[in-house]
Amino acid sequence: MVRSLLTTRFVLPALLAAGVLCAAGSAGAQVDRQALEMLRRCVAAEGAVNFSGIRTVVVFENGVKVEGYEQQVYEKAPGKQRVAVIMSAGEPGRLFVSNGLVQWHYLPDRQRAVRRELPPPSETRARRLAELDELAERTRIQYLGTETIAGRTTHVIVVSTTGGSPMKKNWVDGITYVVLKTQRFDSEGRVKLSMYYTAINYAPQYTDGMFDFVPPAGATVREASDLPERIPLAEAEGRAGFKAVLPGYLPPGYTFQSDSVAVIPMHGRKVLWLEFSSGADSFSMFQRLRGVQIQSRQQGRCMEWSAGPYSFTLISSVSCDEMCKIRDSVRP
Amino acid sequence: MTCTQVREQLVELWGEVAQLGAEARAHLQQCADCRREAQSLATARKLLGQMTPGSAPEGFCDRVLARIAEVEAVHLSWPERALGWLWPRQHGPAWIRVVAMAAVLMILVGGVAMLHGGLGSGMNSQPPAMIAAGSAGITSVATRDEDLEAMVLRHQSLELMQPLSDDAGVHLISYTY
Repeated sequence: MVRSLLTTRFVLPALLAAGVLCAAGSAGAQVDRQALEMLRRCVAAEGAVNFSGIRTVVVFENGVKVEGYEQQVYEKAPGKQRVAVIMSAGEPGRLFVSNGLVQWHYLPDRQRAVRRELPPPSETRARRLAELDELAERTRIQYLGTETIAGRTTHVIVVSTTGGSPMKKNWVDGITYVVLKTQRFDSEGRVKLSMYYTAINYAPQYTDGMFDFVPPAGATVREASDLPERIPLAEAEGRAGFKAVLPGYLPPGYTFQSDSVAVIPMHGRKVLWLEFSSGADSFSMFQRLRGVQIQSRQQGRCMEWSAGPYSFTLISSVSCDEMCKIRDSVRP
Repeated sequence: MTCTQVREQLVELWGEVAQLGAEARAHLQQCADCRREAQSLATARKLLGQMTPGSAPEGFCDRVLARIAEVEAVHLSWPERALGWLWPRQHGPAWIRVVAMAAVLMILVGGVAMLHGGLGSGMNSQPPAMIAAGSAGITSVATRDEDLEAMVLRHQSLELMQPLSDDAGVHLISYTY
């Protein structure tokens, strides 16, 4: 009697709890190998598949849609891409063109073009595949089944934090591994960005010169800078001449990349560029000695403020509320 | 819209959110700080509305106007004083003196400009730098916008290298600066 009581009241629950703990521990980096392999094939397929299509991009803030637009997309291997934002008549659109080596982003309403030279595609691909393997060690990658997107059968893969919060979900074409739909999630698990193709064509017609771009007369051309050297924090602080002030608050899943800090020049002063990443998303915080008083302001995904002897600029795709929390936790 | 623009409107409207335009209302949906500002203004308006209006003592307005006239009679503005020194009042009505002084000034300015143009043709005509280190309270919005753009572009370059990055075309409108 006593023995059976002990078994039911103590031993069995203890065994059950131990089993749950073991499962939870092993779920810390739970990777579905099939899902990981599909993500690897997605990276490999980028820039390697010819297609054209129409896709919709919707941006949400706190679960509420704030903007949405359609894009006409052309891709031609290797690495050529043309994306035009389809706007209403009378509204200026945006154009993105890449020939695989040089990328142009044209904003007609501002008469402004940004030019960015790209590293060799093979180098980019190798780096992303290596980082994907590292990502798999600290996230959960799961295969969720199949769905139909734009008339194509897709495999659905979700990348989540070890706590189970979704970060990114991809719907991958079952044959070409082109991502036909993607969703990104905020720290509350709400969709913050959704992209999905409504039409896809794997036998597209191209026109001559459609992946080349010449800035129109009168347009200002801005060169996007190369990625600077990334070094450990202590070394970066030494070069900058001041200590980094790290935020006390980070959105769930984000960590400071302490081995990947950059020091960049800006008007003769040195700026610390700090990177924070969740694996699926990242945000940057730039810190510099305050030569002048910066008025706090927020403009789209950018937030600026001064605190103590420093000025800070935060550039992020997290929600406005989260950006405010990060800002308020920076205390020199 | 920026927080500054929205808050300027909120001040004018005393926090009446319903009277804001669609763009400003969309900003409020995103920005908790501005929502708090709107609430503070609306609360202040309500409190002011609850206060009972007072009335000035009898003859208050007349006394204030008389005092203003006294001060004006004693204190001339500096342009009045300068004009009186250069061309005393007894030499004509004010408008003639003003026109004559304006003509003299134009001749002087034109002469200096011609002289400067002759000597300074080789000088760099670019405006001086807008920001001086340590010059507290002085900001240059134009310069800061350029810096902000540089930082956004750097961040975008970093994002493109992430293992789960979307193609650059997806974020064509996400980042505004």
